[in-house]
Amino acid sequence: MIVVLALAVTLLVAVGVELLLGRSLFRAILGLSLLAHAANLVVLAAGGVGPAAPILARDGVRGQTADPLPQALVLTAIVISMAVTLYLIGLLRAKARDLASVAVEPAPAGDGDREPAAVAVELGAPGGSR
Amino acid sequence: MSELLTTFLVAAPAVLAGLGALARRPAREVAALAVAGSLASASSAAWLASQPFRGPVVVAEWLPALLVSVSWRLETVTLALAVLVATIGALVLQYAAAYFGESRAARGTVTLLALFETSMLGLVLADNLYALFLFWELTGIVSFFLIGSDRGNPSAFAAARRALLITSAGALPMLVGVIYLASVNQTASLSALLDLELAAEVQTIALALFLPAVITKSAQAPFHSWLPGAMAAPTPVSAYLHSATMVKAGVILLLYVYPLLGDSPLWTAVLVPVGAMTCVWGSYRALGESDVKLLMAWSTVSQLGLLTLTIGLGTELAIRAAVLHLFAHAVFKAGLFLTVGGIDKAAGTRSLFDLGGLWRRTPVLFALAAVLAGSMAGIPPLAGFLSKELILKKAMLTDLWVHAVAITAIFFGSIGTVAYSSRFVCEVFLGRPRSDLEGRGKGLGPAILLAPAILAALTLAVGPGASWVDRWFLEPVTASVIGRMLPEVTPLSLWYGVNAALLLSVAIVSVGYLSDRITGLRMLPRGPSALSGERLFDSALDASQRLGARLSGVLAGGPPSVYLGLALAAGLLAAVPAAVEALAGEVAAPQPEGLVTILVLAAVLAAALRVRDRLARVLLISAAGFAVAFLYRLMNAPDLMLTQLLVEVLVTIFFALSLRGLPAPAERRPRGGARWMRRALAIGAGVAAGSLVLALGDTEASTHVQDFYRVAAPELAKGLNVVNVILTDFRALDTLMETLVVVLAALGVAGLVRGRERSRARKPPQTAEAAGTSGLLPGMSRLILPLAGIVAVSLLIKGHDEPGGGFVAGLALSIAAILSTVVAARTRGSGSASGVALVGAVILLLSLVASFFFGQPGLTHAHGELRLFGAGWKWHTALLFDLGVVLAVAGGVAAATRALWPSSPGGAIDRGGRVRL
Repeated sequence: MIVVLALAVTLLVAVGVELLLGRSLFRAILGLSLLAHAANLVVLAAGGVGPAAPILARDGVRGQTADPLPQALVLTAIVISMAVTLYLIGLLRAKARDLASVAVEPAPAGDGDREPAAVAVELGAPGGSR
Repeated sequence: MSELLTTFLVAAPAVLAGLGALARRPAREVAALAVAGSLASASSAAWLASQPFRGPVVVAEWLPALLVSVSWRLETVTLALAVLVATIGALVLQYAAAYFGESRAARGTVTLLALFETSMLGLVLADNLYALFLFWELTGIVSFFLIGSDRGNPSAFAAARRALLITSAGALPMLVGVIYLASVNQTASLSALLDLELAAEVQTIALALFLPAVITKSAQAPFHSWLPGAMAAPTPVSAYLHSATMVKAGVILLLYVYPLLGDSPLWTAVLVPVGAMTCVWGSYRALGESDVKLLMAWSTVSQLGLLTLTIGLGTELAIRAAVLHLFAHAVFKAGLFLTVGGIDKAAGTRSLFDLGGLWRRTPVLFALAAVLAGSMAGIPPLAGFLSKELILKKAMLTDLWVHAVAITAIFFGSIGTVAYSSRFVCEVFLGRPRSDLEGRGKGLGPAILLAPAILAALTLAVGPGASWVDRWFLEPVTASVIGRMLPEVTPLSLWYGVNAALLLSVAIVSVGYLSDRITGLRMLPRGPSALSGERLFDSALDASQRLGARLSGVLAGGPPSVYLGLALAAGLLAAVPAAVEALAGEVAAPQPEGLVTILVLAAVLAAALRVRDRLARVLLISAAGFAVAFLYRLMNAPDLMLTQLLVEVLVTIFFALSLRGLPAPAERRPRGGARWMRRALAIGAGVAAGSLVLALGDTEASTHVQDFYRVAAPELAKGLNVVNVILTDFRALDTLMETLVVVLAALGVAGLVRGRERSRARKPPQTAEAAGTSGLLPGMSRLILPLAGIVAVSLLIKGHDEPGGGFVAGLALSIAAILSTVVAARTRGSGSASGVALVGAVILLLSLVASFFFGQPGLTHAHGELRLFGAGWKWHTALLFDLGVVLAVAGGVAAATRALWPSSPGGAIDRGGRVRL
């Protein structure tokens, strides 16, 4: 199982970093969520692999199960990273609006017939409204 | 008693002057208060010195665990230095009152001077090395403000900055040295340390760490250049800081640690060459100065070099000579600086090219200058003669190489000293005025002559009273420095008979005097010298700032990808060895369904990198999330799988919604080199992370922690789903915080989007009805929420025993809420959604607080069974807590969605009833 996890983490981190290192906020958000998956898998892997889900039988018979504590921690992490992703998406949205509204005003000659939105500079280019 | 008195004597000058300054009294009155404080300090220190008690006194433990305390060391040498500091402080402050007159900035300067006196008193009296370091730095900081007190003068600020940077850079290793000594010996008390025998290497390490502080603070070559620059300070400040006190701090520290570290070979090897170089170079530069104040500054550099050199000789007799010269120099140099201030006032200039014949105007000042300069040159019977005689005797004693170096440096340095002393007296006061001084300057009142007169009297009295000075001052102070009485030492005297030291003295004085009288001012350069340490320092500082700007331009100025990439590359280098080791190990064969998942993951991710369309990319990334969810299933974590699946659905919908109407960015493809660099980094990071996981190995789930939970979950929390029990009960505080984060993030999105869009004039949002939409979807949407509600309630209730729980239920509910928002285009009610979120948050906080009323720790849950309809119904308050989670998550996410939703012009449902994305 550890080999599967190692391969999954390799793939997720590689693609996550590739996306994160780009210039656009959109790609960075996707990259971050992949990295979050990878981190969660690492935490789970550190907890070891158990033979059954950590859900006990009603009659009280307890076999060996997976470690519940890393699972609880990862569950928390999943929800937190979701919240962060939602917030980043909100930022992306707000920034796109700002760029579009800035680009409308002093349209340089020759750009007059273009869609205002199309003038907006690439999303996520730092400080790059001009 | 004595600890309180010592604290009082340290604080008195600053407290009194500070009170005067707070009451906004004029500078003259503030100075008078400070003088009173200084006199009180001086007499208290003298009284303490007359008492038999010697040793450390602790005022307060400050940070006992770190060995930091406020404590004073009452030894003869510390008290004698305190008397010196406070006495000269009183004289300088009295002089300052007369010197500054009614100038407006003077009150601040006088108060700072008093504060400086307090920090200097603390420095000489501190027993705890940390406290000593604090006072050491305090003197540097106060002197920064004093040097730069002329606000309108940028070069004064530059000089102040130089002084501060050089001295505090030197002090940093000293702090390390203090920590080192304290941690090796488990005490930071200087008195306690002096009783110990340190190992040779400990001595050498500690000394090596202390020496930079000594060398920078006492302006030793090559770090002396800040001292002449510090002459930008007003003259009373220079007289106090740069002659008698602060620049002596390094030498004083050497005296203090002499018994502790003096045996180290580093002591002589560093101090003698450094002191010799400083002594000669300072003398030489003093001869090249036409400004008499700068002449005095370079002379101070030279004399400090002489002191360092003498202490560097390291014998007990050398220490005795250094102690005498330390005090003698403090007295005559403070007096000389005050005289320079008087010359400035009387003639309106400090330039040797303009001065001359001043004795007619101020005969008293002339007499004082002659006595003080004579002491500096070492003319009998003045104090300087006695101390220099001791130094010469010591330096000529043996024939080691150090003594050859020492005697040569002292010889040439002292010839220079005699020459510039004679130049100072002759060119300023004798002869004829070189330029028309009439109408410039003014007569000097007795107030300005008082302080130099007292100092000159002191320097005069030492010679005739040599045996008295020896018995009551030099002998006890030296004994307290070296820790024992000196046996069999020739008593201090003006006349030891004709010996080599005397002959050398005669030679020095006559050569020095004659060479000055013969050359006169002909050799004096008129412009500033080309090779200047100050300029070197300033250009180095400028260069370092430019380098910093350039570096941060490279590292942090560009897009985040650059510095993220750099940080990542650095991290990868560190990971290489571990990765190599992990990859070399043996691994068990993977299970087939896992490999299939990996293949799916790889395919999906590769496609995500390839596609151009952003929506397609979002979908592919969420497909990767589904693959991860399946991995959770393989890891026997059903709760994680459920949560992950719902989160992926939710985020994907959210993404799709917010991409609507956004301009598609022209994705600029990076240049070839950058692209390959990025790929290499990405692959490297992936391999490193993967090998980290591999290194964890196929460990069995640890039994230690899970055994506790497996027993505790059913018994204490009455739940069978251990993960859920941990979340709602054992680690409920984590869950509470995390839920609040979700609520905050969601409401943050709502505020972010709505706040901005409200400010833009926009068409009112169109509802589906207004757009004339009809069809199946809107009709169905009315069912979505109620159905999802049922699912959520079932997930919530089952959650304690089976996969499910508050988060999962909340996510399911919010997905339903989003869908109904989209499909029915229900744009109202984002307010009510955030209301739901807040209700959830309040429930969570109430369940935190409620247990307090039952005398239990926060978030303790109650359990029970209800007999109803003939069956037992388990109940537990953890369910209530989970309900809070559901409401908070669902409400928050719904509020965020509804804020995003109306932001696009035009409806979201087209005429065919399809959602437009």
